[in-house]
Amino acid sequence: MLELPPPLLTLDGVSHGPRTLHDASLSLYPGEVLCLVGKSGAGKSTLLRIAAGLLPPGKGRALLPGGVSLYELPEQVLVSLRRRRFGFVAQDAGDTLDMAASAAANIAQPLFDNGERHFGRALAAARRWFAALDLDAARLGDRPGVFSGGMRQRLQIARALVHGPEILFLDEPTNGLDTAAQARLLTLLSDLQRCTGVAMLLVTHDLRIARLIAHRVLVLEAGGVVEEAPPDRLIADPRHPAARDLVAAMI
Amino acid sequence: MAILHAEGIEKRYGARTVGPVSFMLAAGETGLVLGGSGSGKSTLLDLIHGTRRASAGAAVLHIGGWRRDLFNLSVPELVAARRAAIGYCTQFLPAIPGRTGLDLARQVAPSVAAEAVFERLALPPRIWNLPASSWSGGEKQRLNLALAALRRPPLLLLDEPFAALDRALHPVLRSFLTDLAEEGTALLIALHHAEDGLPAARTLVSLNQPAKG
Repeated sequence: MLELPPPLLTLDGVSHGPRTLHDASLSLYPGEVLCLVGKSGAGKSTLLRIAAGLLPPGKGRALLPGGVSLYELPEQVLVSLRRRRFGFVAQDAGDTLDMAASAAANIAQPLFDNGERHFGRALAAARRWFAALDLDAARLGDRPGVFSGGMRQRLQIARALVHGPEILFLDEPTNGLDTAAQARLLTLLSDLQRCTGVAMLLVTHDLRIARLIAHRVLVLEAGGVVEEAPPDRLIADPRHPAARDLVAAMI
Repeated sequence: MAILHAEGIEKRYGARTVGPVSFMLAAGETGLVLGGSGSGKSTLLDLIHGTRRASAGAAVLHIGGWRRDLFNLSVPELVAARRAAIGYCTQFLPAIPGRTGLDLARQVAPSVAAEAVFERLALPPRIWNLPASSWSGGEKQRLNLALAALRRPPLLLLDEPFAALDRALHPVLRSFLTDLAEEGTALLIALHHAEDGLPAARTLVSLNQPAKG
């Protein structure tokens, strides 16, 4: 129990663009919540997209267990692996949700993408995830456009978890939500993490969020990882100036 | 057999120094870290937990066949060691706003009956389902202890567990901690006054004067 299991995903020296990301590395372990924190423009979202199989890095590799290199896979294999093993929650719900489809259809889509053919089974799963995210079953037929911001984020999370992924990627999931909706979303995320055991890689600029949910935090600055710590240590004993700035911004 | 072996642990902040401190703590044993305000008691617990980085020394954790210096672990290894083996009850409750005490307990240890632990700590049932942020200081402190104890860590660090409690509750806490120790948990308790300690406790560290260089 004290030994570390092998990581689910490793980024090895990835770079992107002339300045966006420079030689960044990370490992994500089973069942952990790893937060990427940093100012706007530090490269957090780019690193997240590379880890999630959505953006090939200019340099470096993304490795899965067994040494499988994500971006050396044929495009179709990468797409199907991403659909099966990953879930992605974007900052803007419009990036992952189909605004013209019902909430139920949105949640069920990843199941159909993974080969589900039985409409009733998919609908039942959508209904279960709707309830798990505290969404009102009476609104399963509504389109995402009529939902509140907090509900749309929960809808995204349901859609990202319905197929039982190993890793959930989240890009500033609480952005634009009021404090009460933020707290509610964090509560749900930490419960779901515990129930499903899914590993999470979460981007935030707010160390308060990392403190509440992360097991481990990486600080990014100017496209590089400058500090790694458990959240309590990062707050009590920040070393890098960028980490100190983030701690100062909490107050 | 020592579960925790501290060797020359030291923390320097500019001109101030805490330590060096050395001691051994065995499973089921209760060790005290005594000292006044500002003497570095909390710092010492923070160093062992890895909340702060030590300037020198080693804290060797020995559980089963696993034996490692906590100061030399990678961050992922430290996180894993904490989750499996180290509980830390500070004076602050790190809780997501809006969660009830019972929610928090279920989140920490879904398979353990939190109600029984709450009762042993004399937490009134009427508050169990209220947001923990609305609990009083003494209630939060006991909740914090309940959350740390529910995970049954082999090593439990406690920072001034009696601080926010009125005298009438001290025996409750004392018997709760004594039970934990009897069940095999090693307790390391930072205290202002030795008389608050447990009958079977042993003073491992005295940090009597305020830390200075």
